[in-house]
Amino acid sequence: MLDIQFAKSKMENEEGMNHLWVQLHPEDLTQTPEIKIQLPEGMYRSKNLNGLVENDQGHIVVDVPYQDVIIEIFTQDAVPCGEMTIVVSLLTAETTVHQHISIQIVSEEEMDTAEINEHVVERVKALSNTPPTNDDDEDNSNIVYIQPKILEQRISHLEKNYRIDYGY
Amino acid sequence: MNSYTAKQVAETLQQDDPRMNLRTVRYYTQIGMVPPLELVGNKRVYTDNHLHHFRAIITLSRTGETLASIQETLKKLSMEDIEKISQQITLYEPSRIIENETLKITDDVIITISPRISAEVKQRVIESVSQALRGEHL
Repeated sequence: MLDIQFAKSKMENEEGMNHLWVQLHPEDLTQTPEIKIQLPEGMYRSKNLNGLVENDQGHIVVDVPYQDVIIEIFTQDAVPCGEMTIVVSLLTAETTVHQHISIQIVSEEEMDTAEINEHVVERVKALSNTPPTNDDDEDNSNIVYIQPKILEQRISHLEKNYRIDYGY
Repeated sequence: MNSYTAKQVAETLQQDDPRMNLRTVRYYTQIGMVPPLELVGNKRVYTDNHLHHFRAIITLSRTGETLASIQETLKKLSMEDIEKISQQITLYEPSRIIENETLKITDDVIITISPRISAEVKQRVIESVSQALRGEHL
């Protein structure tokens, strides 16, 4: 019902970042499921990066079929190194499934031996990009589009036709 | 070539985009969004080229590109071109986009004008640029 993977096998105990990829098996589901993520102390998460609604309980409502869910996980202040476990729960009206995933929390120097899960990283890179959001910032102002005002050319159509040097 | 720690890079980049914090700098490095770090003595360090890469990533991400697309684009470009993109970072600052007027003179020339510029000066700028593009003497 649930497949969960990390982008990195290890994560810095201070100012570290990782992504958690949650894939559902929709054929097993008959109702709109919710995903609940329980993090150990000192570990935080962003809102899901897929733009899915999160309800008042902080559950991610997966109301789109075949939708995966990506969440940024991070540490801020230093936490003790060692293994930490995240619990991901799939909640429906009929059933609740819990799945655990562990990660090594290490110092910056130990990150050299971290393994990168290219499947997860590829998925993260393919998301409509924002620099990863690290807090509850609802502001999407990092994506901006220039809408230029097109100025009317000060040359008439006929004049254009007879000017061989027009434009450059 | 200057060398920097991840923390120094993050502090510098945060002036351009507050979201580019230390963990983001490290993460982008780990997932290959910037070139491998340079070895100086027995330490791996960031250089000015890494700063250009990060600024180019911020600039392109502000246009809505995915990280995958940005990575693909940057791979094909010379360091000189990446630096040019990085220098455009301020053009894509949200405040600038909101406040400034962007005027398309031709397909090849687009200018942005701050509201601090008077209407009279703005008109003169537009006319001067238009004349220059038409090859007229100013």
